[in-house]
Amino acid sequence: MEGQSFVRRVVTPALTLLIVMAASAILYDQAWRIGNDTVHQLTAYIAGLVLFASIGYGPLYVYPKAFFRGASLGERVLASLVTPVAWNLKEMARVSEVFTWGESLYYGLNPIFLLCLSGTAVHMGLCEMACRWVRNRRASEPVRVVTPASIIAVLVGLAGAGLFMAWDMGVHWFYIYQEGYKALFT
Amino acid sequence: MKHSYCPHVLGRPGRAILGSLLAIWLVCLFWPVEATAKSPTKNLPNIVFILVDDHRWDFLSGVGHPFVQTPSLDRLADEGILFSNAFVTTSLCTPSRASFLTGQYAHTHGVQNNLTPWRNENVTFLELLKKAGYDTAFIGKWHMPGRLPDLRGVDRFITFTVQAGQGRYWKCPLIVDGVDVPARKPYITEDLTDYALEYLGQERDGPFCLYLSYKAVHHEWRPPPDLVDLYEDVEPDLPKEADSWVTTTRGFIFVGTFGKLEHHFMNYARCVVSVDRQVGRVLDKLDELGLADDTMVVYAGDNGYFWGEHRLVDKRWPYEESIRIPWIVRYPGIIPDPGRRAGQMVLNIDLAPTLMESAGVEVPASMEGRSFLPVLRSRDAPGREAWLYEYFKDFPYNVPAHAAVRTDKHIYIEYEGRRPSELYDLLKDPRQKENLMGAPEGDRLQPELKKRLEALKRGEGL
Repeated sequence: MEGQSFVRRVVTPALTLLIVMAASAILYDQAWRIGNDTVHQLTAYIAGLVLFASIGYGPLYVYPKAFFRGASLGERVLASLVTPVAWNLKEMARVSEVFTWGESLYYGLNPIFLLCLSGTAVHMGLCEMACRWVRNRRASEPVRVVTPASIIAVLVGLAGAGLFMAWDMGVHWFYIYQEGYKALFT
Repeated sequence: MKHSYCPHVLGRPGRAILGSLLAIWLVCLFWPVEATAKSPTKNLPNIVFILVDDHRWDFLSGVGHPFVQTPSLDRLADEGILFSNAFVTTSLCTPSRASFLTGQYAHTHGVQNNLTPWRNENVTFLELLKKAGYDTAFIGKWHMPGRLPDLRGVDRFITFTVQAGQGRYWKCPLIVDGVDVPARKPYITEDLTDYALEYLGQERDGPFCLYLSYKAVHHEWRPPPDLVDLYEDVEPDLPKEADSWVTTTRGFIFVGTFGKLEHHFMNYARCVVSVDRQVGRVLDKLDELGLADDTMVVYAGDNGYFWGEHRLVDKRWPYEESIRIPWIVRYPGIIPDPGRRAGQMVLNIDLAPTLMESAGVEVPASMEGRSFLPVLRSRDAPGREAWLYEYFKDFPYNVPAHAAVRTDKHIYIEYEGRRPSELYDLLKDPRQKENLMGAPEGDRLQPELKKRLEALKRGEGL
């Protein structure tokens, strides 16, 4: 488990998920060109599902991979954030067609991305505890399953999800976000 | 001698008293019906304007929707005129509402998107009708950024400010003439209608104008409990290019569409039905009060809505699903042929000048629309040939600012930024699938349309 290269510990799992996300995004965006309606609908549905899962639930794949390949805590967090951050950068580039660079940067702080980061924090915290529990079953020297860092990650993530989405279905935070825009750009 | 109570046996004073009593009795009998709540003075019509949020033009059974049933709106159309070519000059709630109220384009009234505040110097048709002797009420969604204004010329102002003015479907607190009050009915569409019916029933000496503006059928598309299963067995007829995830990609999630397209689509249809019910209550009330023949009823949507067409949801874009609105006018005594479908192009900015003309008020030069009263009077009245569509940047919705000229045959669109222009032949290609720019036909048509667009932008030929 120890001694694997940075590429295997971090880059490979992160890149695998990134490729899945990119491929499903391209497939989803191009599926409408398929002439057959049934095939189009099926392709779009599956590609959309994979795209959503790769962005929203990616850490459930990346984090354990990095953990069991000996990645440090920082490396595990880094690997888990690659896909959501890449997706958000892509979205910022997309809206730069309409908005200034400053506005596009602010767009990057949109509630959906913050919700995604909150979800990532929850998933990382849960994965950390699950991975430790699995390691305990394999290793001779037990480690603590529940750590302050994993608990904080879960709690902060849940609080963020509540703030950005659960609070009146995200409407309140969205208007706060818009007020921020008005203060900065109008 | 047997006394008789016949008048002729009374003396002259007695007959005079009896005659006076009879006259008073007759006056008392008819006065409340003919001269207080129910009769406009100087033959001015009462006005009921019903504005519905995001109601797309084709979600009416009267225009052939495959499953939505709207009997009250169909009745209104059968007793009046349905405009089959009605549009908004900006397909976005806030600017469009300001255009209805002022008769002006967004570039004139200044409410260009959902972030730019209402200008207090803007003059609404309610203010002008008040000066003409109308009793006025604004009931429902205001939804302009900034502080709630002290609307000039409005006798009764009932609105809401929760969720940045969008309101809530359930238990929406209201502001009644400046006072915060809790919801009286749990469902907002019904609650607002109750206030409207109370207003209609008030005794008054002169004509009235009621502006009734629903939150429905805007997202989050929450139908009332007895409609949640309506059309459960119906397979939604979504466009071929759409898919379930359209609502969640490309930033559409910001319009509150997280979840499957099919789910939201059906709830939207149910909310349309809920509005139809409430419109039915308003029409019934007018009948009950004997006001129907003296009242002009106008029903409109503030913009259309995409349900997957062009792989879009929401509105804003200058395509037909977004810029077309339902527009029905019932005006007894003026419309010689009720049930007509009028093909002339009418715009949201035409409402205010039409109401001015109906009320005998000179249309202010500042209004950019034109009265459609001639179209009500005659099926042969000329309509406009072309008009300006405009959209201004609205963060964080990634739709570039654009301007377009829409004629009865074509639409030519110019975007700000990198997005290329578009030109569609609406007769051959009503779903706007084939951009003619770059094609020989497009090359032939574009110079004239561009010239027309530039002229409209300068204010010529509006």
